[in-house]
Amino acid sequence: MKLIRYTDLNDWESLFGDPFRAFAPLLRSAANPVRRGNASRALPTGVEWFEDDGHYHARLEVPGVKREQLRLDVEDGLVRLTHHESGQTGEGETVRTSRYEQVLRCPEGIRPDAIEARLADGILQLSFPREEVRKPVSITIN
Amino acid sequence: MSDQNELCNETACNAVATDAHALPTYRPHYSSRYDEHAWEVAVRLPGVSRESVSVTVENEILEVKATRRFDLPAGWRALGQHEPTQSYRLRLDVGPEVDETRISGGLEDGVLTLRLPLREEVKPRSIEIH
Repeated sequence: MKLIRYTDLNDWESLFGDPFRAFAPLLRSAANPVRRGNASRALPTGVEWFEDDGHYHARLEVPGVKREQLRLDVEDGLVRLTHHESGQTGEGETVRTSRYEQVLRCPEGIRPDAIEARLADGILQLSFPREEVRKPVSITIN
Repeated sequence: MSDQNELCNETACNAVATDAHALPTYRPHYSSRYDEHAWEVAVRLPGVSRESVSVTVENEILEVKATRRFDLPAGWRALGQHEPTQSYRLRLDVGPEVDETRISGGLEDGVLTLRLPLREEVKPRSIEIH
């Protein structure tokens, strides 16, 4: 699984502009699912949040999703999950594709370049390392 | 191959979640499809490991039970509500046509896939006309 920095800012704005930002206060403790595209099946969107001294952690339910079908992009304080699946139906005649997207707002004060992701048993765990807190420094007056 | 057909009648038991051990019990999402040989049921059980799943068939009722456990690693604190253990239960009325002795299944990526073969005598057959 790769975390890819998503650079097309204009695209982000058109997708999740102001209306999405209006939810920002809610997002410290809840995911904000955004479903687009021609998803032929919906995935559950349960998210649980945790923290430890150095990180925030999010655990998302993504049953049936394989590592190679999942892409994670980080930009502008958001993590976008894109699940893309294509497969043939029983007779091998039709190719079915499904696409699913979910957007998660990163917690405040994290390092977006150091987000880690792991996938196991249908649970995606994202770990957001916190920025080191700048300790106050006192200056001695000579 | 018919796809995404409703398997069968969900039993009234689904509404009752009176487990003696009082775990929060959820009915998992599932989908099903069938062909002339078998039903195939896919039950979504994210976070569930293989050893905590049980599948039984009794009196034409298929019952899937699973426990999902996530103990917080050292130093972790939950932001919001966290239940370390949750249980899933799904009961489906599979009817008399399923051969209970040949049910097979597997758990992968949080999805339990069950194959419920039909009894030979209920499979469609063509009759030659002489």
